[in-house]
Amino acid sequence: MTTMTARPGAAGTSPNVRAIGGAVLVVRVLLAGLFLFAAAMKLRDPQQFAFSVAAFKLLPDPLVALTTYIVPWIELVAGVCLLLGLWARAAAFVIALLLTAFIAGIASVLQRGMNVTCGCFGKFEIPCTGPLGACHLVRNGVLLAMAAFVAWLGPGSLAVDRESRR
Amino acid sequence: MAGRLLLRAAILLVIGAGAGAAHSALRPVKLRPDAPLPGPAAPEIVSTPDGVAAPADAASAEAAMGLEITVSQAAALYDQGVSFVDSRHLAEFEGGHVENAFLMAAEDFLGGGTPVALGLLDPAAPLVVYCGGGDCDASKNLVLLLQQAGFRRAHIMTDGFPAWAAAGHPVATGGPTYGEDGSR
Repeated sequence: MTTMTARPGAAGTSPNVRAIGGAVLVVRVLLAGLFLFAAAMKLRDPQQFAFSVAAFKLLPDPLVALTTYIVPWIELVAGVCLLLGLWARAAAFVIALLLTAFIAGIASVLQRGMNVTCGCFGKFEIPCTGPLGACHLVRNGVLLAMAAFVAWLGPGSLAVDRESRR
Repeated sequence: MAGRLLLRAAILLVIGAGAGAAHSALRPVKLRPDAPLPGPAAPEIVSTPDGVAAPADAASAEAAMGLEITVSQAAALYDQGVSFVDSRHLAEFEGGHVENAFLMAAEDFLGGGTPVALGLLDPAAPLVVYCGGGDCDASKNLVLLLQQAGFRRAHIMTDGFPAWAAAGHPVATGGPTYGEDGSR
């Protein structure tokens, strides 16, 4: 546990600490909602996501098929954990790893000057529209900061995790 | 403590990867839109006197073409009056496009939307989709969406607009006009 002093969300703590617990909760739920939505959109139309993955031209064919399913399933598992506040820090860490991989993939696409549409949320584009661009990098950077926030501070309020009281 | 965090993260990754691998084994995906998706695809097949099945007259050449076609195949279809769809951005379209082409981007389908040009096209008729050629995936993405929208005879002019223009086939500049005069 890196935060040895205040335990956000713990009962009977100061208003300041409760505020942090609440802030973490908000970030956690936002992140969870977004990734659960992303996972659902990808799993609803795996074929479309497979073409998106293939369009990055980063992976050999067998890995494209695997990635098509593994990415949304990891998003789903991590999203559920985040939402419940179950192993929240680990789930946030996993999300951060995914985002790092996404950022690397997008950067690679941009560096190669390719015109690729984002398979991020299936047919929806939030909030960036059009082919992959700097907007997607910034968005993922913000999400990465959110994930790091949760991974660093712990589950916050209303979480299954009890480690904040230990 | 960091060790426990990493262990838990690894467990989550393994669960996700395991579920994903199982899912991918259960439901394979195509890696590129080579084959038309299953559905009421084919052009009419008629029986010829010698007993060999052959596609009906005018459509025969088109039906024999694969998903991806060359510029000269595309030109043959153009001469038959087949509609062309430009899947690039408006600015590129305005800078030069296949004459009478419709402008439609995969993004136009986003959020359940329907591109304007879609209503002007006949799903049963053949279609040629193109983008900038080379590494561009826009036409492939669009054809996938068109197939889902019921267009089963969409072809991709792989080499794209630059090759079309270089071959001296009809080109035009400016924005789409079909909204106003309904041409083609």
